[in-house]
Amino acid sequence: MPASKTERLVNLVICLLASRTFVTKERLRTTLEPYRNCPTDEAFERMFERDKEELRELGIPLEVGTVSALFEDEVGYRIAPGEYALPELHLEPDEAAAIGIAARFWQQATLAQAASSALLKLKAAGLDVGEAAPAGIEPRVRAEAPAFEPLLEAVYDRQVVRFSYRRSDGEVRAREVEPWTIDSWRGRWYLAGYDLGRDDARVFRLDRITSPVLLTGRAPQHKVPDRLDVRAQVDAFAVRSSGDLGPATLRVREGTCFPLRRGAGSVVEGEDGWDTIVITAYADTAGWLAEYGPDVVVLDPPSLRAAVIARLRAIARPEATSAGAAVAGPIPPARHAGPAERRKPLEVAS
Amino acid sequence: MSTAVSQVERLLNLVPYLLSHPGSTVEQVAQEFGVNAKQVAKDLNVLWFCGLPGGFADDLMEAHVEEGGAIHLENAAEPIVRPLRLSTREAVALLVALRALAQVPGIADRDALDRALAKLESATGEAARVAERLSVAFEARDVVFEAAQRALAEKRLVHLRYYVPSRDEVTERDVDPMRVALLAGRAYLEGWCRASGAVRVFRLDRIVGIEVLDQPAQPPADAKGLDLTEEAPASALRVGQDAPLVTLELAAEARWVPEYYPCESVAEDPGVDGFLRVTLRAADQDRIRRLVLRLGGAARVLGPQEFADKVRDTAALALAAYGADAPA
Repeated sequence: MPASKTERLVNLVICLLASRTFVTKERLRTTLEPYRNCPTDEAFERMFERDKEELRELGIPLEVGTVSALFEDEVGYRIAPGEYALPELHLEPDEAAAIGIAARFWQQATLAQAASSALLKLKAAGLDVGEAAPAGIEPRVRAEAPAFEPLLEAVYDRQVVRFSYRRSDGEVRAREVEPWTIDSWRGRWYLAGYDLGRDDARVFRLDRITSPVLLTGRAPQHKVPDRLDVRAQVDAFAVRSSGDLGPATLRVREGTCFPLRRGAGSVVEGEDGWDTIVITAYADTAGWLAEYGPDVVVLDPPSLRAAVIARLRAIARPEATSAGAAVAGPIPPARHAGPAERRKPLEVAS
Repeated sequence: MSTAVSQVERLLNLVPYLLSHPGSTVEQVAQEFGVNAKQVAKDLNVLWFCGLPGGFADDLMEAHVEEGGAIHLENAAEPIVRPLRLSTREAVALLVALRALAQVPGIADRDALDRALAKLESATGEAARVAERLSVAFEARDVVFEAAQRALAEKRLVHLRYYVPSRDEVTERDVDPMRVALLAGRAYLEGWCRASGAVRVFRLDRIVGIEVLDQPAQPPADAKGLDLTEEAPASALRVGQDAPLVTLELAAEARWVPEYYPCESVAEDPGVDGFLRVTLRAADQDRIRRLVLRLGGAARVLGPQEFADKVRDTAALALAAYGADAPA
């Protein structure tokens, strides 16, 4: 009989909100009809325990306290109106529009659902947050990795998680992590936390988690850093392996290599259909330059020139029977502000 | 959550909603609360049995439905005339979104976003701190983003200089802006491209120059926006199903490729441990050719032969420019 149960719970909420003092169980039993109709004390106890549990499930803050100073063992219940209700809130039209846009932000199911129920509460409070500005921007954020939902739970509750993680080199290993934050950057999701196996802080990409995420129920032992900047941390992984190698001089064909020109310190236009530009080289610049094929020629430094030649040669004369044989060592991560497809993903959680 | 518990939650929000929206119809309420009209009728019936403790008839609420469906709530129980506080999840969903938007470089109405954020933070208390554990950041160049939003708001035509990486070419075009979207970490401008006579999506980080013209924007009335629920806008990755498949063998250090390039298939290489074998479908083979050049020896084209030859020829041509340093 859900209707009568709903009725009982709503009346219980009203009763506990209406009272300034703690209400004893006995008083509740005489006040609320469904409790009064319980055939036995045990039946009432069971019903009341379940009801309390369900109010807590709704996030309704049920306070327990002693009814009077004289009888310390007499316990009662109440709901503090200030804790229960949404505080008074006034929004300017542009603030309401901003919240309207924010409510459409998530594509991820549980957050989208949470956003619309939040919006409903604001509307119920009489705030006009329904319509977003017609010429507004449209954010659409997805979080599809199966790991997202359980990790979010773990991050809220601060409990240790366990999962299998595949590194960029293909190695898969079990990890046990105290989760700190979940961050999306450049469209990818990262978990930052304390890796108990490595005994150090680590950043993990959610799309490289290969197993279901297990919430252990254990509380973290390590202190969460006061300030966490995952973006800086992810960047640090990238920068560590690819420092600034100084200037490089290139010849680029007229009308080509736009991204190189955009980042160039100087561009000298030539007469022969080729321009000379100077860029800052990083460890991964050779790969980036090879992409432009015959439209770019490295003049200086010799090491970069040799690296580009080695790459091109590996493709032009593939003596090797399989990939990887011709180039020694990994390609370090990119640091260019070019289109992301040509960025190598950042080496995280190694 | 059990049916009864979610009904309790709905009723606790319904009472303040009906008070702040007097005369709302059953249909409107059904839509707003995401339930059907029958359920709204049931909910209203429950309200007749709820009210202040006392056991007198005039303690109970009265939810009348007029002909035409307008609802009038009388004798609302004073303790529940305010809606419930936002739950942690609800607060997180809105606060993280507002923070993310307020941080986009060059976003219009940042001031409104900041003010809304501050008000919600103070209304949600502890949950506002939990919300700091989740964050989303978008990349955008403020100058371009600002101009795109302004053109959209003022309904003006824009002239774009747009870089097409697969052709390594900067193109020029006039676009009637239709929408600015933030997707998968990036900002996009969607609009009617007059040169191609079609709706196109432009990545803001590839816009080399943007000029907001005095001419009004006039996208055709029937121009339809693209489905932005896709991870990347369709036209950015428009790939015909008849485009040829290219098969690549990737060494361990190139295993990242399928995470950045949409692949038709990805499998462990049957020959070499730790290697991957992937197939990509690209109408625009230049894009894959550039990828293979970039990877140097870390990728090998397994087929089609014609494509493999083209990549090899490009590399040979590039080598020729190095003369004596790179004997063929």
